[in-house]
Amino acid sequence: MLSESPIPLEGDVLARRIYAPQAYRLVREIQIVPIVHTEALKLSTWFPIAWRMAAHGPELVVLRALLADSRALPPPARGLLPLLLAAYPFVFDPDTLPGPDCRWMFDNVFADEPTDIGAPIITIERKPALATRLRLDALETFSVEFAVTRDIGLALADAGLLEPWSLSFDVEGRRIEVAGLHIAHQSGFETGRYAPILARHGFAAAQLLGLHRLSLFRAGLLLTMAKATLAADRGPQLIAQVRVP
Amino acid sequence: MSDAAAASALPASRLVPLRGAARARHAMPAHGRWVTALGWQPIAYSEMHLCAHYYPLAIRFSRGLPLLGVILDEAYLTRPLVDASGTWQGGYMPMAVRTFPFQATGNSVDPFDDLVVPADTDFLSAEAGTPLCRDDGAPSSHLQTLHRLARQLLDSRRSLAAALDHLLIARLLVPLRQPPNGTAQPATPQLHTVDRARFAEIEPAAFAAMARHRFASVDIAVACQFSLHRLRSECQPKSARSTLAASAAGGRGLDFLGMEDIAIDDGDLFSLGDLEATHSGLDASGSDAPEYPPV
Repeated sequence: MLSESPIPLEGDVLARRIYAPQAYRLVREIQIVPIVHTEALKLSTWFPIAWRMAAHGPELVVLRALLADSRALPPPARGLLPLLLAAYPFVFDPDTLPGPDCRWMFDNVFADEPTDIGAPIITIERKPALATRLRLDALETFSVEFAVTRDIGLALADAGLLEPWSLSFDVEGRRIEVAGLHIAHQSGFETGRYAPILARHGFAAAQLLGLHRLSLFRAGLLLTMAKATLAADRGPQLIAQVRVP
Repeated sequence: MSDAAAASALPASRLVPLRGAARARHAMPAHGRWVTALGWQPIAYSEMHLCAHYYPLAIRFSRGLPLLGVILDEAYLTRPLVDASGTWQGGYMPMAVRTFPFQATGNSVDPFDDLVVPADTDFLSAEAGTPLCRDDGAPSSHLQTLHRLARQLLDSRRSLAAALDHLLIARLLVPLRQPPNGTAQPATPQLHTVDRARFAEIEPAAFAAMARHRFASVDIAVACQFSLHRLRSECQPKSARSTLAASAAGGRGLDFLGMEDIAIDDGDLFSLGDLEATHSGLDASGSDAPEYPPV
């Protein structure tokens, strides 16, 4: 679901050290991250929440930036991590869907920007360290809420209530494009088309759809951050042009 | 009381048609402090989602009818809207603020006949400010913009009446608490928000009934709760506070994801307005609420 080189969490792997999530390139740069519906309340304050078509159906995701560059995230929100990033480098087995029986794995990657000496996965008493427990708690929370999240996405897709979201911009002579995202059908909100979804999924769907609509208004901020990032790469003169409307 | 007067949070003042006002210029104060003194202002549905990122949404009652708006009174807010020098740093400026003190009555297509203003307003001037009419006596483009936005507010208020009634029928509205030490602006009325616990307890069939014709009532309820991250903790409704505390104590997942730390993340530690003002003209106050989707 979100990993580069997952290996079983067993044997010698347990002797490895783990670092703060931001020490890993994937966490700093990944733009689109799968989430569960209970994360929407917090994440929608800064990031758009949408759906992405995956092999198992529509996947609820958060869009963190329009560029694969940590500078393109709003600075106050860089520490606001979705559960899967808070859990990193612990990941789900990519061959199964998250759930009660899903296997936890370790993404076998290098922490390229560690800020401290990290923490052991297990202590000398052979117990999970606090850093490990917090990360595995995040994975467990995700797996508990995944089924409801997936069911809501499937219900929306079955009802024809997901429509493509075009995110394509020309900025600083460069094409910025985020493809493959879908949003809830906009004109449907002025009709009763969502009533059957709420009849089936109640509060979870009501809150998710409302937060989804609110969250889309953070896309403008992401575009602003992308412009500022590209302008910074071009030099001081262009930075000034971006900052003064 | 007129529709326009009902929507204002200010003390009752005689409203007169703009045509009868002798002063022909719209004179806005240079500093932004007057905005916070308004306390609360109504919003249009088209700007609700954007407003919820910047202000706590709140519902006030006028003649028993619920009206949706935003809190501008800084005594209620987690961040100041103007800095020490009076410069606006609140981000998106709601239509009602941009059109203040003009209010549409819906009685005419002519701005001079349709718009009303308080008879004693300081926002009209004979000498200073933006002209409201051209040399030939026709409405200026500034006045036409004011009129269009004021009509949008009026139309939205009428179209939201049924949705807000849903919240009333479902007994979802709960009063906000007054800011401590009597610091609230005199103009700020008694305000209400949506009770998070009661909203979460609504049966799926009832949710479906609320959304049978339109999603608006559910939309407003969620936006009200979302926007509470902009409301000072002392003003949060009692029931919402106790529910959040119980959730945090009772379950790891809710503790992990609850709203209380949003207030911490998003409060005095940084200014969203500063961030966005620094980087661009995002959500520029001079334009309407953006079309949906916003980019």
